Amino acid sequence: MQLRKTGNIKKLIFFDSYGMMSLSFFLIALVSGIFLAIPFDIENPYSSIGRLLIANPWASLFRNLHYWSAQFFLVLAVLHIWDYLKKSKEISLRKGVWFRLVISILFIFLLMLSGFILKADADSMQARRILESLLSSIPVFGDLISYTVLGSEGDFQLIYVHHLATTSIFLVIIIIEHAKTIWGSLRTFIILLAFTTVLSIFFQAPLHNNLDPVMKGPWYFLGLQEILHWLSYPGISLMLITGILILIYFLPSLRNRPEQLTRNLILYSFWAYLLLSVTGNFFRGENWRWQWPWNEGINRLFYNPFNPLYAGTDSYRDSLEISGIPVVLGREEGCLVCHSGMKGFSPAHDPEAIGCVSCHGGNSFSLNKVHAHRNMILIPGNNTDAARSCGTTDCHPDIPVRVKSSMMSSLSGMITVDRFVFGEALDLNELSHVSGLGQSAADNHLRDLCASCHLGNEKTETGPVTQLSRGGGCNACHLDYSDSSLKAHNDYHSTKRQNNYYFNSHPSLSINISNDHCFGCHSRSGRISTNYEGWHETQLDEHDSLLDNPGFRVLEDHRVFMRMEDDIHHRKGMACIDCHTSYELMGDGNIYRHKEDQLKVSCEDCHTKNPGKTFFPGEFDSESKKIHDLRAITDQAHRYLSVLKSGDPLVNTFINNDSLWLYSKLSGNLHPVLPPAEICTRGEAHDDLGCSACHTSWAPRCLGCHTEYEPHTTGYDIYANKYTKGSWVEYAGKYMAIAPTLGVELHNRKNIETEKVRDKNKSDRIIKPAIPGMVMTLDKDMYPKRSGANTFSFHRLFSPAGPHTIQAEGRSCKSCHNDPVTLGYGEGKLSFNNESRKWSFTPRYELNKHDNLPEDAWIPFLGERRAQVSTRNNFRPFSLNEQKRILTVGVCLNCHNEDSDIMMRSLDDFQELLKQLSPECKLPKWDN
Amino acid sequence: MKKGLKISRKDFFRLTGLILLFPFYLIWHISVKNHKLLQNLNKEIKIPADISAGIHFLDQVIVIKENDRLSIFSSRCTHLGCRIKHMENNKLICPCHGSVFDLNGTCLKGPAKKSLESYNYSRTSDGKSIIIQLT
Repeated sequence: MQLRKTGNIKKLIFFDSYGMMSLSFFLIALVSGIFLAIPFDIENPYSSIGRLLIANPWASLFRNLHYWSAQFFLVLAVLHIWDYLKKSKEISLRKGVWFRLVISILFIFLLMLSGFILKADADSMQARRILESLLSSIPVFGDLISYTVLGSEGDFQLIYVHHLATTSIFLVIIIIEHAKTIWGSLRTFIILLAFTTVLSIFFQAPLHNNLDPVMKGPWYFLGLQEILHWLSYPGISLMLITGILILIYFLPSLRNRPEQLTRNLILYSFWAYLLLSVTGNFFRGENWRWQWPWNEGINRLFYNPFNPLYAGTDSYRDSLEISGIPVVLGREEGCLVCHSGMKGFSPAHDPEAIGCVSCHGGNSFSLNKVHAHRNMILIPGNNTDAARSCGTTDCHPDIPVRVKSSMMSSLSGMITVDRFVFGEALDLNELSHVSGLGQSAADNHLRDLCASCHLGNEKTETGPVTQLSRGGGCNACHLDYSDSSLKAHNDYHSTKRQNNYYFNSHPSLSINISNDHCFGCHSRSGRISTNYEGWHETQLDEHDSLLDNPGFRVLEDHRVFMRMEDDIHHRKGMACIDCHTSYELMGDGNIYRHKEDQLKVSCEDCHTKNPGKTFFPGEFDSESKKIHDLRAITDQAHRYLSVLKSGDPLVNTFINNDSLWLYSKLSGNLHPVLPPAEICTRGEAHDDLGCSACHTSWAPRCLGCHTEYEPHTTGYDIYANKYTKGSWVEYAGKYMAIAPTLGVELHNRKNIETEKVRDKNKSDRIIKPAIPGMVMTLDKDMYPKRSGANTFSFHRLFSPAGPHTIQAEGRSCKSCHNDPVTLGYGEGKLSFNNESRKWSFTPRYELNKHDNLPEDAWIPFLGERRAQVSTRNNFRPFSLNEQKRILTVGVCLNCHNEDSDIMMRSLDDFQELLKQLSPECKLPKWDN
Repeated sequence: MKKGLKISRKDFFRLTGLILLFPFYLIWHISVKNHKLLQNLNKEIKIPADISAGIHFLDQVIVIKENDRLSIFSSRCTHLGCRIKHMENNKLICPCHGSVFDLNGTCLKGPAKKSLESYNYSRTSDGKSIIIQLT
């Protein structure tokens, strides 16, 4: 019963023999091809097809008819051969006829492939080169045949002739000889013509937009493309094809078992080829990468040819007669017919230079809004699509790869430290990536509180980057709304949208990245954006009456900040990007564990008496050169400085008449760059002191933070962007802004490249500011999936920091040598008793019950802590011995002015001075 | 009756046809060769001498400038001639069948076996341009 039903369906579809149906499709292709030849321009084939797709629906109908009838002709011709091969019956054809029939299989594919090549898009051009190489690999005659079939590269004349005449005429002759007719059945022809016409009205023949990096041959050769991937000597594929044809040719002369074996071999080869074709179609992505089709999204998986012809009859066509169709990068850019006159772009991104499709995707070959916007990327530049928009081959192909592996996309350090504190990472040097966040306690803590600040966080709504923006891939930094584009955006989203408001002012993509772009993410955690501008977070309410005072500021997220001293570089008008290079911010392609590993630039790259390697602009790498040129820094005669750690050029810092100058990238102002003061470089006493250790005026810190899980609180997973039941909640204690504690960063001597070591290269340690990184009580008691028995823990880990509150004048000597906060003891009274010659310390804050240290301390007074004390393996507080040495100088400073001659001389050789102590000098005594 | 080579008229014409294939091949070969020579008289491209450091995909050639070293390769994959227009992690990748080359043009991963073809170049007399001689 079932079989009968299947048979009926088959009869309904194949109402005539495969051969006759194939013949009808061939005739439809022949006739439609004649009419397609009218708009087809052999000089500009791609362009002529683009034009007819956009503005000539009737010519497009002929193209679709030609394409679809040709595909069905091929399918039915193959079925016709298949039908013969699987039936064990004698062939009554004469030898010569049979020979020509077998050869005609080659001609069928040559006819199809020449048609594929004639559309001259990116796929076609690669297919043409492959065919050329394959034909050239034929022994003796290869080059001759190849040139005779294809001609010279870029010339389509010969292919056109072979498509129109050579192959078509040969097949007509073969068909007449084989089928004894060229007309077939009129009934079959009419039915199939009607079927193909309906199909052609709705479904468009493909044309590559020359942007998509995925290159594929015609569907019937995707199996061959797979085979060729495995053949280092592609000539073997020709031998395989020849072998199959020889087998087919000799099949009629075989009998019994050899015949059956040959038949089976051909049939199984067919199935194997089909399998390879499916693989090539669905599992091969960009650059021949293996892809899982279900990860690619339905739009990328299937070619969707639905593009009905009526779509080409929109009223927009009327305007074409006047303006014509804009051509961009050799492609007909239909988008610009409707979106003409759009303003606001930077020159490099002007649609007249790169079109709309380069960034937004979509279909530039349609004037119908629905079809032109299909598969369009409304907000290009998110990490998920950056490779297909900003990162296409002709634009910025290497950057999306770098950005994805960079620290701002991975959040490696943040995640590892958090997991370490939660007991879920064994080592602070573990590599992490935000895309690997699971559902552990630490990962959910990040999901609840931290994990929105990564570049992979998608920008899903149009509009400018604000203080509340997070992520957005390229847009996070490069999106720039001018006043007019912001007005146009707001108008569009107001009531005017319903009245066909024509959006004509586009935001620009610019390298003029303002500090506001960084602000959203970097006003949190270490708060370097707010520090830099001189704002310190308070715990005031936004409605507090204090806020009438101009010294306060309320951010868009309702946090209240108070005025502090801003960074000297900010005061001088410098932006974040004046120091931080493209290779730092977008990554250099390497994967790093912590942010300081990715950071390249250091203070001493500019503030130096001995610049390292210098470049003329002509010697820059292409990215630096592009940035330099776009900044319109026209002076090519100066030598530019480089980043010592990476060797990358600093495109805005140069030497002029033996002095250093910095060109501010946003304001265009020139700033003199001063070398370090004598005190910084005199003697060897402070060789291991980083610039920021002295020049940081203040750093934010907090006390008494407590983090716990509240199972009944409604949380929001900021990584997955969804509400959750239960959330980690942070309770902050007190916020402070004081001079930072100092810590010691240890380096492998060979790797020291920054800060104080440029000249002397002696030290294996650098002293840097430290702030409380993870000082908190952690209560996991209520977390449902907790592991281990310790649900409550206390952590006191400090972090190395670059607070970005640099001042021209460094800290006083006393502010380090006599200061308990600097030494890590916390605030309190640090005093020296001249009688007992001993230092004593009285903390300001109570001792924490978990470790008996003052709440704000890093280490005990004149003591050390064991186990992990910082968020880095190579960062530690001062050792006891170092504390004693610092405090010994501190005693001197109790009597001697820091500018005094003797204190200056102490920088040269302190040990020598100790031998010349006067009787009044009271050096400290130490208990141990 | 004279004894001689017996050949049917059909076979005679068949044989004649086969013999005529040889001069036909020669004429075909020479005409194409001459045509190619006429087509390829000026097979060179010019690029600015101060091209910035980095990797440039210029249709037929890939120009790689690192420090003071300038390398110019054909963008044709040595496997089947596809144009290489893309790079990932400092490796050149053929879009058609996935061959991978390093920045010295050496093949790191097949199916290609040979290195990319390296082109010689010369500077113009004014030093402003580099002329690449395509082969």
